[in-house]
Amino acid sequence: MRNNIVTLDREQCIGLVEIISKADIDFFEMRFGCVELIFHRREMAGFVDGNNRYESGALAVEVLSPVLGICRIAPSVGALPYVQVGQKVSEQDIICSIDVLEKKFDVPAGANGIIVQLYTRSDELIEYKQRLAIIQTIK
Amino acid sequence: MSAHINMRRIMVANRGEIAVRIIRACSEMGIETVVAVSEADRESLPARLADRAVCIGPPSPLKSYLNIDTIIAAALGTHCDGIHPGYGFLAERSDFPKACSRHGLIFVGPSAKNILQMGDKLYARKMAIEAGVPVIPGSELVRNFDEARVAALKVGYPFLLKAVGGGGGKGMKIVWDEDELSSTLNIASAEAMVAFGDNRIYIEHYMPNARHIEIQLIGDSRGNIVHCFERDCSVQRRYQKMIEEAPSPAITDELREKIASSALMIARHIRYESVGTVEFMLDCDSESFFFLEMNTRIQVEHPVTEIITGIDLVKEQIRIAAGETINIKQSDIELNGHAIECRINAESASSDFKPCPGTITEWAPPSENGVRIDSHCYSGYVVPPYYDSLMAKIITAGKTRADAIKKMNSALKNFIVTGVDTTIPFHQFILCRDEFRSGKVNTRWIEETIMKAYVSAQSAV
Repeated sequence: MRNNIVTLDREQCIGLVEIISKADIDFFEMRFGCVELIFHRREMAGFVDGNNRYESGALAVEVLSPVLGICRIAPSVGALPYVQVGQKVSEQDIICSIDVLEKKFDVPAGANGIIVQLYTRSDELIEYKQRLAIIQTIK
Repeated sequence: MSAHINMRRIMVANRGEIAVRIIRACSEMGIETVVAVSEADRESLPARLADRAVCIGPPSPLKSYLNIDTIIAAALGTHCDGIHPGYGFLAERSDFPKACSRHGLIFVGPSAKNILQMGDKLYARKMAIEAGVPVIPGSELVRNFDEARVAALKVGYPFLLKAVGGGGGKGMKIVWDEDELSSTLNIASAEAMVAFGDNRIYIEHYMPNARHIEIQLIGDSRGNIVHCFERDCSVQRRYQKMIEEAPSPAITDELREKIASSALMIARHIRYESVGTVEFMLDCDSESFFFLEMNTRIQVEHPVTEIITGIDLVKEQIRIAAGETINIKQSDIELNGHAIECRINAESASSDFKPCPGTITEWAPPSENGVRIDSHCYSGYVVPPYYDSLMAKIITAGKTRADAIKKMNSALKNFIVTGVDTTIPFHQFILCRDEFRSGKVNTRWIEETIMKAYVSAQSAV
């Protein structure tokens, strides 16, 4: 039996995730044969829309673009980016700026926490309410 | 003289059926489309049909479809060559083509100068007079009650108070006698300020027994201008058109020629470039016609002209914007058969045309020969409450007017829409009336005769 490779198929993986998601646990990690299954619960109960914050005890919040325009990830060409993944931010810290023709809109984090995902790329068109970042909030 | 520009991608800065119409024309011309949508229109048919949809803002038109900077930024960010404004929203704002030009984008429409010339209704009257075309007797600008009273004595009661910056039937008030003048003047001026950002008012003679006749024009950058005959839009309620047809059942070939020539004279005088429509009031008593206004855009009712002439007006508009010349001579434009259009709105006619936004649970338009449906609706579509309530235009074609009416009756009968109230029953009611069938209606017919008759017919059911 030791030489038999035991693994999980797709259906079994989905079944397992369903069981875990219903359990009262936030984090689950398992290595089974060649399968590595990591489950990390992240509630998406709120979001930040520009300066308006909608939150209900969320563990993570989305930062959405308040306008359509061209994204700038740094204050100027060649400068360091406003933020990076893993960085601790406070509500007023700028995530990126959006240029609408000659006008510039700074997008604040809107929450205190750590940036876990950044979706911004410089010079790219960002639509209204497009997701810019996810912040793991610190209570 | 403009050089020919290769249009590869166009931004559609509009929504609803006209956005679908423009996307279809572009697709047939091999032009890619990017549609600018508000948050309320993310799942709309134009968003699905276009090569790309970009969300430009919240549902409020002021923050989305009327936001010039955002629309220009969206067009630049998606590498469009030009912007088609459709009708309404930014279509007749002269600052829009200026902004397009400043950012190297082609505006699919006339020049800012043409829009300014015809957007100011007093200036438009002046242009018509200079071109030798009769205008409705009226005044210059009236700045206060005293000026209005003097002008009223010249024009005579009743008359219309009209907004200089208005148009499309909006911003008009009838004044029947001097007792009403002061209060109506104040209301009209205040309403004009809110609607058009311009409180200037002037006076025009009111014609109680008139028809609305308009001439479709096409002009190019080399000064070539042709007309595509008339549309009769006399079936209207509160100055909003409900049914349009071509040709008019009320004019002779000789009168048609005279009205069309007048429209051409105005367009030539201002060197009009693009598709446009010159509107006239035809006094049914004297058979005299007068310049009303010019619409510097594609019109809602353009399909009836397309049916009787075989010309695709949206494609012509795009070609001309790209610097091409009109490739059709006036003598080659022929009037074939008859076409009628009914505007189907999500409104309850029996409740004073109250808008009825909501979810369309079933949408099954007729698919008979000779019936064209221009629409953005489908089963499951939610008619949003933020915009006008036009759901579809039904256009029928026939060899004769009677044929076209017969097909329209059948199309209305076979059009299944559930989930929201529509104006289909109201159109069926109109089409059965002898006055409409005999072509003997005027612009007051709906309000003076039909509304009362429809309400009593409904309460009898």
